[in-house]
Amino acid sequence: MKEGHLFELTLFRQDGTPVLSDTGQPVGPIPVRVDFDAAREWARFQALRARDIGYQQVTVGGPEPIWDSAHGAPYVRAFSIGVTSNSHSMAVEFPNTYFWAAARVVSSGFVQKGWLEAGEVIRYLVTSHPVKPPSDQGVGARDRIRVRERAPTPEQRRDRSLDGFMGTARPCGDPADGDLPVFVAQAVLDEIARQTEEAGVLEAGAFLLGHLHRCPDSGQVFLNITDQIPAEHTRQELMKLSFTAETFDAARSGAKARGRGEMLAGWAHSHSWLQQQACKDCKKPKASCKADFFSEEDVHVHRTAFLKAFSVALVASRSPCSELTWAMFGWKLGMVQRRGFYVTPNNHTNKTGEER
Amino acid sequence: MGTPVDEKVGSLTVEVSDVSGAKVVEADVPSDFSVAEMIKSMVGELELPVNDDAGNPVAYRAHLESQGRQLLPSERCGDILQREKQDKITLEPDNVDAG
Repeated sequence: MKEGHLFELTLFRQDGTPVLSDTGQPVGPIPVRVDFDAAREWARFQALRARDIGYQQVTVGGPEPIWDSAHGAPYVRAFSIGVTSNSHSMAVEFPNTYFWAAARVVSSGFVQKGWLEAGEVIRYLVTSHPVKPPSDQGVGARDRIRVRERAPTPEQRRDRSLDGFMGTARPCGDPADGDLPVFVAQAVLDEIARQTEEAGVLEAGAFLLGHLHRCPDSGQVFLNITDQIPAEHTRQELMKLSFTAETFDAARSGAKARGRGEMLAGWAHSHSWLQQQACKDCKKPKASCKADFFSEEDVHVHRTAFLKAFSVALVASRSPCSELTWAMFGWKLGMVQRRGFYVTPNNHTNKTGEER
Repeated sequence: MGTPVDEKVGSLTVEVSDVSGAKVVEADVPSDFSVAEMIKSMVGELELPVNDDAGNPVAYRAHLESQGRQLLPSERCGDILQREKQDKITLEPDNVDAG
């Protein structure tokens, strides 16, 4: 879990000039604490997608800087994470945009100090240095717990033909080549739409259940969302939906009690506040206001509870001037991004939720 | 069977994971630890988010699979964890807000 490299960010203004401190000196590289877990999980899943191996056989390494080809160390162009199994090894490369969240934290500090204006566009340079792992010497409470990292429980994958799904599915959003194909049953969308309607202007939540499959013909891995369960024990507000420990408790036990081997493959929530706060565009002909965005709070929920690389999030958006619209978000290169998906007709699953 | 690592109080071996199941560790927890102490340590070991985007702290609760319940912060690990069988604990975030 401990990194072998320290990563630093140097911030610049949009025109490339350095950020100056109170003394008028350029602010040097700032060491940053970077959350590499999403990158590791993404790398692990790419190994699973590339070869028919389970998580148990895979070892995931730490981030290794890839130096800028023109300037060399310590200037970082990208970083890689290695994944090894008994018989194969691969390295997954991540762009420097992965450091954007860390750069945002640094820039917020600069704004507070008055070194940058709020809302100012910044650029950043990534550098790195090798560091020794921290010593285990200590007397704190944490030092009394001894920990051994374990591989996550492997997902159960069922063999299904991808062509069989593609043949009856319709695209929603813009499914991109190379992305994990994700299928959602129309019945799932219908149920979430009903729950969204029932919640009025408040946000409503749900958990998505499904299975990972590998196509025996193409070898491609894909996700099929077959059902949903409403999120219980939440606090619903106009522009906020709070998940509690009881929410996750109920979802996990609810999925297990169904006895169908489904995974918690993602979550959904609605944005209906436009229903109450009709915008000026709603008065225009052919207006179609949408609130199908994924906020920074939503990213935090996804990072905290849906770290698995295949996990997806649906956003149902309602406004007075448009029908219910859908957007899906999911992991790509360890970052949450908008993505497309496919809708399957209701007859693709039977009444017990089993796939045909 | 729990592996004793602390000569005075002993310890119990548990499997701890985050709610997604993506991060899993096996931990030897001192039996005199409270659940609150265990959660604090394991959140650090699993490197789970401790603040939300606005800087507000994220609280976690421990769900013990064998008993199908959330543990109280004041409970003592030695009183609730099994010695003869490895327990599974899931750390569930208690206050994450979607926007």
